Amino acid sequence: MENILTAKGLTKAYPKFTLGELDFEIPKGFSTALIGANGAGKTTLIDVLCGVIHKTAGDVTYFGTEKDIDREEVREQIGYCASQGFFPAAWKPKDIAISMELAYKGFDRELFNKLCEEMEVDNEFSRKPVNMLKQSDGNRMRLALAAVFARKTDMLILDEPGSSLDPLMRDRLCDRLRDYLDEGNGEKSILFSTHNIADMENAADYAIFMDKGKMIERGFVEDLKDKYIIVRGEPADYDKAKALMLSHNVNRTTFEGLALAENARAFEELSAVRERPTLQQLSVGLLKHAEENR
Amino acid sequence: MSLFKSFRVMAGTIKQYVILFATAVGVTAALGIVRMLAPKEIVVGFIDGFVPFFATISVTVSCMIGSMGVFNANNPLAVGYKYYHSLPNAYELFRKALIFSDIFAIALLVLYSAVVVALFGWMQVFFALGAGAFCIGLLNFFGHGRSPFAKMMPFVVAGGFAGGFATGISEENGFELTPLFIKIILPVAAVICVSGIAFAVLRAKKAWEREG
Amino acid sequence: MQNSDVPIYKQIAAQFKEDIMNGKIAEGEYLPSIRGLARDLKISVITTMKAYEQLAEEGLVSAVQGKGYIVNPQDREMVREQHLRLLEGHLQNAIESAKLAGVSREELINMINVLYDV
Repeated sequence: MENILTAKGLTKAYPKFTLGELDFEIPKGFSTALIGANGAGKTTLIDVLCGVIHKTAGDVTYFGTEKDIDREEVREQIGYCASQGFFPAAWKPKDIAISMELAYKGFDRELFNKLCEEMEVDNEFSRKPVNMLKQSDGNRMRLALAAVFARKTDMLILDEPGSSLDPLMRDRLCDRLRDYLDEGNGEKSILFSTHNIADMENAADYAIFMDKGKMIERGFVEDLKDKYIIVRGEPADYDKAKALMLSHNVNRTTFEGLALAENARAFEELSAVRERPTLQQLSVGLLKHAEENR
Repeated sequence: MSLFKSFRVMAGTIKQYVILFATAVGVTAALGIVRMLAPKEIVVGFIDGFVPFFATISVTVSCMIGSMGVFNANNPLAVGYKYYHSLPNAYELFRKALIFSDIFAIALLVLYSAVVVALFGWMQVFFALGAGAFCIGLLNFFGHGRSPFAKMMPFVVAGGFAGGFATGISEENGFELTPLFIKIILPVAAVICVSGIAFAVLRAKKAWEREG
Repeated sequence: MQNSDVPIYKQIAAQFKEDIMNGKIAEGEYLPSIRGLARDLKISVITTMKAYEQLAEEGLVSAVQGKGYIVNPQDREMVREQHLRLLEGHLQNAIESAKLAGVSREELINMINVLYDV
């Protein structure tokens, strides 16, 4: 399978936090979810990949051959959007339209206004549009998404696009992401970060799990769901089951945990229920496991 | 991309800059007309006292606002930082926008001065011109800095200039534009202005690439 | 004990299998594009892909480079057998319901005769 982005030994060092070293690939034609708790380094990674900040060491290859994020052609093809405070506080939709139309060859101003309307936020023709400072977090994100979707790109890199949206809008965002992949017919790819994958399970094909600047697991979602199982059983069996589980919790009526599917047989004796995990369950289990084994 | 377009990428619409400047010119022109139509001593006295003060403050502020916006694009604490830094040719845009905003500032300063000279005379705008040039230079010297206090400096200085002028003309024997002032203040302000802009433009790359 | 929830990709594969078996999707036809189906069903691309891969493994469809998945010619004998197996299952359900409702063998056969002519 082809990759849209490959990172080797990628590092970003700060006095109090270091991202990396990271080695990973992002598959072409799919949507990749970057999953991690707050402070895992998701935003730092995205900012490095988009050239907002610069890496300390390592290599990133974009679109198979491009190595330099500062090249105009590379930035033109990447549709980036920050999690919050993307556009200047004093800006109104018109400022966004003017600026982006000049900055990007592939920006479609008409489409931007149409997308704003679809996402139910002011566009440049609205009466008395308000500036970014006065918008709610959700509306700011909608505007930023409308702006990025109005560009002609080959890859979207979105930092927490769903977090500030209401459930309905988040659902529409997922639709739009799938539309983007469908439009690209295997040529367009998405990377988005989230600390809460529950509402975006069906928009993720590949998942990368992060903890404290490191990657703890990655793979195609369906493969990961085959690799792990969720186990549920009687509290009495908890002590025996504990050793086989990566992360677990117990209460008066039941215990639950994440285990490797290869250990499934061992749970049979305990008459524990085994389930194929959802991406959300997988996230919680893996992140908890990483946190406990730091 | 042209200097102007680069500035537009950083600034969006420039309506607010135009309105601010037009207001300053409008108020000045209106006062000039009132002074001509009603040449009573109290009116003339008030206007002659007011205009230099107003000119100094309004012209420095409206000239510098564009540059301040451009510098702010490189302020990691300001929203918009990530937008600007993710743009294609981001640094080039920043540098060109900076050059444009400074040229723009100087042009506004000259334009405004021309209006005042035409309506009132050279003396009323002398300090505004000096203060404006001085403040543009100062802003460029401090613009890349991260300290909010340093960024306030030009405004403090502008206030000082205006205040000093007000004191100067209120002295009983009146204020005279001595050759000393012309020979020293204006050239010094011009030198600071030009060297400040040069400094800011030359440091633009380093400043843009500095993170956090 | 395995949880009874069937993974989505299996549900999708089963649906297509049924459609192929009863000829709703004819041999030589292409399945919907992977990303198009993902969009329509509001599921991830990889899930659709896995469903198609399962159909391919079972020999119902083949991947054509760059064009998607095409429905294979179906073995008539095998198709008939599949249908018979389905029929048997349905009849078993019917008999069970008949017993629960106290419907006699004759009555049930009569019902089938009536329904068969509709």
